Amino acid sequence: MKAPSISRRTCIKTGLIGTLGMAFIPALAANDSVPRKYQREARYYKVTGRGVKCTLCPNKCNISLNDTGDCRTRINRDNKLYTTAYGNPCAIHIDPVEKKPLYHFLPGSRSFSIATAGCNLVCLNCQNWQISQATPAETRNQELFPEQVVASSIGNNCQSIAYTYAEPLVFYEYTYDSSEKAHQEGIKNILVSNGYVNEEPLRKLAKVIDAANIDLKSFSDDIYVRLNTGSLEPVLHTLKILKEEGVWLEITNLVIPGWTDDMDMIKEMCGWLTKNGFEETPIHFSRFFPQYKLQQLPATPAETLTKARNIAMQKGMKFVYIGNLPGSDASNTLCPKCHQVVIERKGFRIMQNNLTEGKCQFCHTPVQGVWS
Amino acid sequence: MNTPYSIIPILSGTLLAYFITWILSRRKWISRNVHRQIWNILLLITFLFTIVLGLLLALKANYNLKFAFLDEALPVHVDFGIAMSIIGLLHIFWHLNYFKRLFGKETERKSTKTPEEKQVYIRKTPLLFPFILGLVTLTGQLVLFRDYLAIFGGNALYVGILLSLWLILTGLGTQLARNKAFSVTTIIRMLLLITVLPSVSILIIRVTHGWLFETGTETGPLSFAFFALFTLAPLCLTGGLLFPVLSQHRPGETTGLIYSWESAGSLLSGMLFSFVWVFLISPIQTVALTGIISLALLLFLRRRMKEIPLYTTSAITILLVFLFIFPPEKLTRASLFPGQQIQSIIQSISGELVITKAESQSNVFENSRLLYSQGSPSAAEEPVHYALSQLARVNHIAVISGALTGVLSECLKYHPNRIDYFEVNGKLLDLEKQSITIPDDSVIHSHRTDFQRWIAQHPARYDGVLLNIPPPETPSASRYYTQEFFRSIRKNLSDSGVVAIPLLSTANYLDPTTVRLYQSVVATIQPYFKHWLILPGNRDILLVSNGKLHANILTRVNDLGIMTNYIAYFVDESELVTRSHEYAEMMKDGVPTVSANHPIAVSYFTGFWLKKHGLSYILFGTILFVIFIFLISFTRGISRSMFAAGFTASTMEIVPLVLIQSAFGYSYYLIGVIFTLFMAGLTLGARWKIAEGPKGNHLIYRQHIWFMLLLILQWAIAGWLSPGRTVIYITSELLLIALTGWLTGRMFQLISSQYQPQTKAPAMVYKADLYGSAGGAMLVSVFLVPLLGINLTLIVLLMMHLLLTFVSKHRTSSVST
Repeated sequence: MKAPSISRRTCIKTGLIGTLGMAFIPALAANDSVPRKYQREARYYKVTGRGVKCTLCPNKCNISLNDTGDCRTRINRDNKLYTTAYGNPCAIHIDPVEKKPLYHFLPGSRSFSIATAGCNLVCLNCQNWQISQATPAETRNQELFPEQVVASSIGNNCQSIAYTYAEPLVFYEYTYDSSEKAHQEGIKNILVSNGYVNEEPLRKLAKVIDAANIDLKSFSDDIYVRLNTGSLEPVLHTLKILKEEGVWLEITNLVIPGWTDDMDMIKEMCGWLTKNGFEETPIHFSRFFPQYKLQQLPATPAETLTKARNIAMQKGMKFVYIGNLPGSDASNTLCPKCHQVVIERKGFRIMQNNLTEGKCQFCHTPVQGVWS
Repeated sequence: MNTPYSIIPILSGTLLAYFITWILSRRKWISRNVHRQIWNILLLITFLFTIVLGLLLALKANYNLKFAFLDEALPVHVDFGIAMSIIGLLHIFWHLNYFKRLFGKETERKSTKTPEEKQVYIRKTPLLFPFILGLVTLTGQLVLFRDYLAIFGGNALYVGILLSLWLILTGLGTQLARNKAFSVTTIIRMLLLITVLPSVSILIIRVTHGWLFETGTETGPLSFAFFALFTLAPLCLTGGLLFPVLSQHRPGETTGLIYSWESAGSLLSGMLFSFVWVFLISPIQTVALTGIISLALLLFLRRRMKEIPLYTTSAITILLVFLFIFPPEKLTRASLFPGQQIQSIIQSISGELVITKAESQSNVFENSRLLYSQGSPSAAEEPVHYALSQLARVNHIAVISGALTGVLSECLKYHPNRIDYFEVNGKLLDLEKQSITIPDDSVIHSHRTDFQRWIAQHPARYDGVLLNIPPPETPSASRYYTQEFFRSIRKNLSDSGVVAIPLLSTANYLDPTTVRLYQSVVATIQPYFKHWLILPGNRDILLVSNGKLHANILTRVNDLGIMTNYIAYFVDESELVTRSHEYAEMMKDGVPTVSANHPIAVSYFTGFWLKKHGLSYILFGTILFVIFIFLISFTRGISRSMFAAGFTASTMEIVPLVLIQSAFGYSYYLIGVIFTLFMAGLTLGARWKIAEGPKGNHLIYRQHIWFMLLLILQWAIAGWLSPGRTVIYITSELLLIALTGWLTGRMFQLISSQYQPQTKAPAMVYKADLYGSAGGAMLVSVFLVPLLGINLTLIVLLMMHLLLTFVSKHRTSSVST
């Protein structure tokens, strides 16, 4: 029997379709499920007619069957929402607490720092884009369940566990369970976050969190949309809630040339902070260096950071620091009354500590913070 | 962009462009058909983009496809949709009568016969016309390419995209000339237009970039291609259209003659630009000057051709002279550097250097990417102290680039007897000397030369070699990661000497693509060095040595009594030790190594970069392959042989460029020489008398065999490459390039003389040449060479040429010869 012949045109067409099809394989594979042992049912979602609605963060993603939310970590399986970031961190390091940055929280201590993949924002300047803009299926992960996180932090002589690097709120369940277990063992918990979260989950998490550094990326909704794909109001709300819940709070503001270096905006931001009772909350103006997609900008000039610091102090902020600027003395903590240096820092090192039981050694004025 | 979609810029831009082509058609500068064809093509392009992206977005929504680039694709899809809708509405106005008839309101149908369709007396135009065309378009191409790269901080991928788009759009331009006759007056008007188009294009590119893209952002390949497509279109389409039109106006003469004059124009502009203008005048001045020269030639021709309008030509000349005298370089660059004062713009061998001031801080950008900002000690301290603290005594140090960071002052803390500082970019070296980042110390010796060439001629025994080089994003940058480099540096290192090689910036996580790159580099050094160590930093640093290496940098620096601003206070020693062990555990044997002939590191880096923009190598390669097949399908019959010739010719230009860059670093002067030789070969080949002999297809097949022989010869020469044979190697490559040009010109002449009908020959053959070249440029530079290496690439190219010859064989018979 004669074999069916195939024309050249058919051959080319088939080849083309096949090649195109091959290109889609990695995209489909990207949806490969994370092993079930790293999945837990999410704690904040509602079942709707269109699937499920995640209620963890202000994105409020409507997630259809087998789809994931904007954060890339929450998947709708059988109309139940699961987190795929539980016990599978991709970054584990031991950092000085000053690196978070937290200057008024156990100075000089070490923090066991973890992160899984995923984030609910897409910041053009993300330093950790390789993990924040990936799914847990795409990153190289280690297995470290909450009990092991706590055991590792104890084993490494860390006084705290920091949920950091990417966005700890998108691995909420993992953060919460680890924090709860850490508290049982006397380890403190630090949240380094964009603060983009809804009130109910935040209030619950705040019960097990001791300190937080919230990234207040700008004080303009327009910039939040364009630079971070988020919005300002939820972050301000987060600051208020953390304060109400008694979590030690510090704020970071990254000063990006051409984006967030408008001094009027910084004045407005500091005005809002003092008006809402954050004058004793430390604020860190951080120096920008080109990262991720923001590659065509210079580093922030030192003068710009100094101007921002002066404005903040004029507006009544008591503890204003400059970060990422070696050689600057704006990383020292000054007593708000006698203005003596109570903690002298160089980079991440504590050069001298003139606090006794949280009070200035020179004038005995209490300095806000968690000092021991 | 304050709104997600650019409705206003697209609407105004499209209407303005439409108004311009409409005015041109009303003024009879172009025919109404050409005007409509331009908009038909634009409608097709916008339609294709809209549907393809729409389909992918639909697949994403339905089947959860996780192509990250699709996040970026939505606004592009919508923007193309907006453009398509506007162009679609304009089309409805063209066919208003049809709709009126459809709904019963009969109107008398006007005669649609345009004056061009009536018999036009074909008058000969001077051969200086194609010469002007070559002169203007090639200068425009070179200047605009540099400008795109300067604005977008381009890499090898962008060069490939630009080159392909240029050739494809020019090919589309030739399509516009099919079945049309143009009067001499129209041709002159088009020539006048093309003399100003490069100047207009450069201004449009610079101004609109600030409107369309977010401040300081690196543009992804998709948005870049979209932007380049529209900003290149006016010049490329007009240039493409003019070539066949000029050929029509030399009845009785071969297209090869026109081709040779056009090539001669390109040859002259290539030489002037590469060897003279780029060092003396700014980009805007360059395109203005080319326009002025072309207009002067036209005014010279006016003695014979009264159709050349005196006043218009003079007015355009005055405008360009004004632009030449007062080039708005800083003004048009300002949007790229917000909040900064531009101090100076310097054209250098590696691209455009811009020095800005923000407050009192100086910043240096190379092709819009930050090279250095004042007050960033980590860039200086990490490589120096990571490497030099390994040694008890440091006598002789080599520092390659990066003086601006303050690296030399850090080196002086080790009290060496001699520091050799190498900076191949003379303009950057001058800047470093002016800014006193090269300290006035007698132990420092600056060399304006390439380090690898220097050590080949001046053997030394260095204790420390500190490389401040970019990541392996191009074959040129990748040469510091190759076997050849490590073999040579090994010979020039003291027994326990250390080399510090910067890798990527990985923050808190090493992703799989980066791991593969690191594995490959580590595998490459292992035959030459006993010890290696990767230390995390602002950029991870690979240390290699035959002496022991240690990760306890802080202790060692303190023991040596060296004061630092960054290392002492920001570096956590225990973290350095832990992470260096983690890195070591990730490395493995049996991975491909980096060599000059196989710059695999470039492919890993490109993969890393594509990932940042939501693409993968597989997806990108597939897109290229599909475009390649489309390009082939647009050629027919005998012209497909020209496609094959164009394809191989462009690859024969790119392969030596990659090889020379990999082996010798910056090949700026050689690029000029390569281009000049190719164009010279092309000019000669197009004029070379073809001897009487075997008929038709046989002659073409013979040319194909020659092309394949050239590929084999290239393979042999590439294999022969070694530093000891530099002169012979480069001479052989240059000879090969000239031969390729000659063969391409000959093939053009041969095919255009056989193509039937002859009236279509210029358009069809030229188009096939351009499409073939585009296909070669796309596949080779960014895909085949980095991924497969030179040897395998050449074998693939040989197979592809053979396949294309086979495909054109069958089709030739359908065309009467």
